[in-house]
Amino acid sequence: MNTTELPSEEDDLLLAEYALGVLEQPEREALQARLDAQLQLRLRLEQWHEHLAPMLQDFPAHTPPEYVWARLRQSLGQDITARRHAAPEPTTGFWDSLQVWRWGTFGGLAAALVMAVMLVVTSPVDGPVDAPASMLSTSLQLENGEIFYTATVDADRRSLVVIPAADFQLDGRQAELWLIAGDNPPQSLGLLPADGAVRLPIPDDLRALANANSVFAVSLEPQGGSPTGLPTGPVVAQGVLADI
Amino acid sequence: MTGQMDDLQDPQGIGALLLATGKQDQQAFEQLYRLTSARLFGICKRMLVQSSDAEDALQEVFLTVWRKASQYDAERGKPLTWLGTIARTRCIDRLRTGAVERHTDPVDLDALAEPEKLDPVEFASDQQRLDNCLSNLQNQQRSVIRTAFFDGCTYQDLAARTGVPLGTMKSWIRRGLMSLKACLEQ
Repeated sequence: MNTTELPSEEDDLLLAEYALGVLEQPEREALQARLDAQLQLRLRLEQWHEHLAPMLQDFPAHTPPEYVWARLRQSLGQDITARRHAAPEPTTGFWDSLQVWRWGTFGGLAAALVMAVMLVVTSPVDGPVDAPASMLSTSLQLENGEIFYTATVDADRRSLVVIPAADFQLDGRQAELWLIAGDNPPQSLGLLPADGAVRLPIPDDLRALANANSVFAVSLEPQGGSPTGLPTGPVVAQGVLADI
Repeated sequence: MTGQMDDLQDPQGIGALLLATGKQDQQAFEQLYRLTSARLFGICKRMLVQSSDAEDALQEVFLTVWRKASQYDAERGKPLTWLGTIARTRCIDRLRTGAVERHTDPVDLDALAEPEKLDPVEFASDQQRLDNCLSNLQNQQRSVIRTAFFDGCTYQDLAARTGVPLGTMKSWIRRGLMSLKACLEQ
């Protein structure tokens, strides 16, 4: 490998043709193999890209459809999982595992809903033995299956208790709980403290929506909660309400 | 992202987002997608005729960005150049190896407007410098170089679309590229 000399005139022209994109595939592949091996060629190619780059601004911008992000996010999840298997890392804390799954502003609740209905709901094992049959509960799970919060709705549907599953840091944001029933937009049930259980009242108009198969979702919002009345931050956890 | 942006200077902090993405910061990556996906999708839409091909390409572009962001070197290049180059390269890969539709419509070399001559004193931006150097080329050279850049054409494609013999096309573009080099690197 030669890293000291500038490319020959002939190679320089080839790099320019490559940067412009006019080479046929066999020539491209031959050059790519040399680029992999020779730093000097790669550096010179970068200069050619810089030379031509001003033309990049002449491409008209075009907003991609929303589902491209959802697909990308999905394939990245697989990518991250694959990398973790390939190179095991030291055991990470709860927040680290949360970080991995903090996607979601774009995927939005539509995707969250799809995820939610596929989740297996695990009921808390320490529920009161003599609980009325009409209490509802769910484990709000991160996409990797870890439990973020557990939520239990009282039998009279007037309030619910939400308990964090572990200590965690929210990086300046606040967790907000949302109720999603049928095709209705998400309804905020309130902010969740990071360091302890909370009992939240269920507004009268939402009481009828808190049923088995309704979905609870948690998004990360600015301090004080979502400014818009709808989730604005990533949806990090969700769970489907079920009778206990 | 709206309209024409003279933002290769990076007022939006895309370089910082790219560096953070290189450290596997997913929020930075999401923000990067928000800020740049319209530009990069514009590239894919133009180079690949079919929208579905452009969408697939965009997804691949951002996967590449996620995996290779740690290789981005702020010392050596502007972030939007780095991103735009990945997008063009991925599209060219698809055009050369995949069953994707290419631009085949005829190019009328006589129909192209004369470039506006710029005052050399005003060559403040890279874009103006390149425009100036392109304006020094013969009209045909300039137009086929620009068509190659925007449509992802090979020499063969360009020869077919213009009706110019392949050897002539190669000679036009090679001479044009060497003129650009002399002009930009003087």
